[in-house]
Amino acid sequence: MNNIKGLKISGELCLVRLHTESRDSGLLPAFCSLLAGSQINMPFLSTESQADGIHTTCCVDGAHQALIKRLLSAEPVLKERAEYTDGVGLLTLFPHQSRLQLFGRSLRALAQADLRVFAMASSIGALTYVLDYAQLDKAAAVMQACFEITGNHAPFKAEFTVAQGTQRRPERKE
Amino acid sequence: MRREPSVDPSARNKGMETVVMYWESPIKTYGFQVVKDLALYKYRIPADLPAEWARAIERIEDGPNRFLLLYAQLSESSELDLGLLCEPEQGVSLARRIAAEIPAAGDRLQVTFPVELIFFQGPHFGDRFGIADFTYKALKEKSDLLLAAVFACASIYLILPEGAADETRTRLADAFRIPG
Repeated sequence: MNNIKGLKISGELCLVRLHTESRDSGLLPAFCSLLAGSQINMPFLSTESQADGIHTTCCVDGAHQALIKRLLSAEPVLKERAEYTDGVGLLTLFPHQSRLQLFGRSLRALAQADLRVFAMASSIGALTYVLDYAQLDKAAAVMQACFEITGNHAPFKAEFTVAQGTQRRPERKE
Repeated sequence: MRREPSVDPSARNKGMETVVMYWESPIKTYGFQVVKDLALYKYRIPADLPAEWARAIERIEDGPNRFLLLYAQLSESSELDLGLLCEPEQGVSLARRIAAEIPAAGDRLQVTFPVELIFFQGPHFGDRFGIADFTYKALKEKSDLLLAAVFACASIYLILPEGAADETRTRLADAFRIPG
């Protein structure tokens, strides 16, 4: 059995998919700018140029869903290219050690448990799946059955969130 | 980073004990890594066969078969578009294994070679708004060249066509700050 060191479960997120034509390559930067301007974080973003255009999947905090829809409704070009799926979440396994076996095993386990994978990406040390939020605990249990978690760590949910402000750093008095 | 006691009643009501303030301008990164002469293998995995495909991938002896980046998105037709970035020879063994187990796989494979990769990480990138925007603004019109990009956890991966990584890295280095 393969070993991993841990699993992490996110809070509830909203998935946004954008499909733009290749000649509209400026739309994704415009989308990112729009979200940044409203202080909306994207904990997951994956985009790929394909023959029929640029396909993007991103996740935002579920609490931002209404705001993001309102923002995009004011941008007709983006609005008509965006699709939303609410109630998704991230399941992160770490470390992946760049091993294909670990990816294959985890994907197979999710498929056999009928857990739909909306998106997936590796990062420097972790493998992150975007799944149905209501199924995250089940997915974590599937992974615990599939991998030996070193140190017997339980899957954990973030106990704090980082919210970035826009205040400038106060000047220090000498 | 500086920690200060919470004085925000709403934060206290949510059980939050600490407010962390983070000031950073420009955005810091730990440095850029560039890897060239890579192969990008793209598979479109049928919606009804993910377990079979995953089993074929799983059966690969890990050994030298290591990936630099994996990403996937569900397509409009509910197929899983999988991208695997690796050394070319490692991709060949993967393709051979999948082809042996799934005869129709060849029709669903697209290989792009050579491609180049830039990846970097930074503090709390995954928790902060504006990181993707900052990256795209740094790239300017070079973002048109991107074959794929992944922002996950605290990492950013940019896949570029041959010959594009060095100038892209220069643009990023001009925008981000590398301490020390």
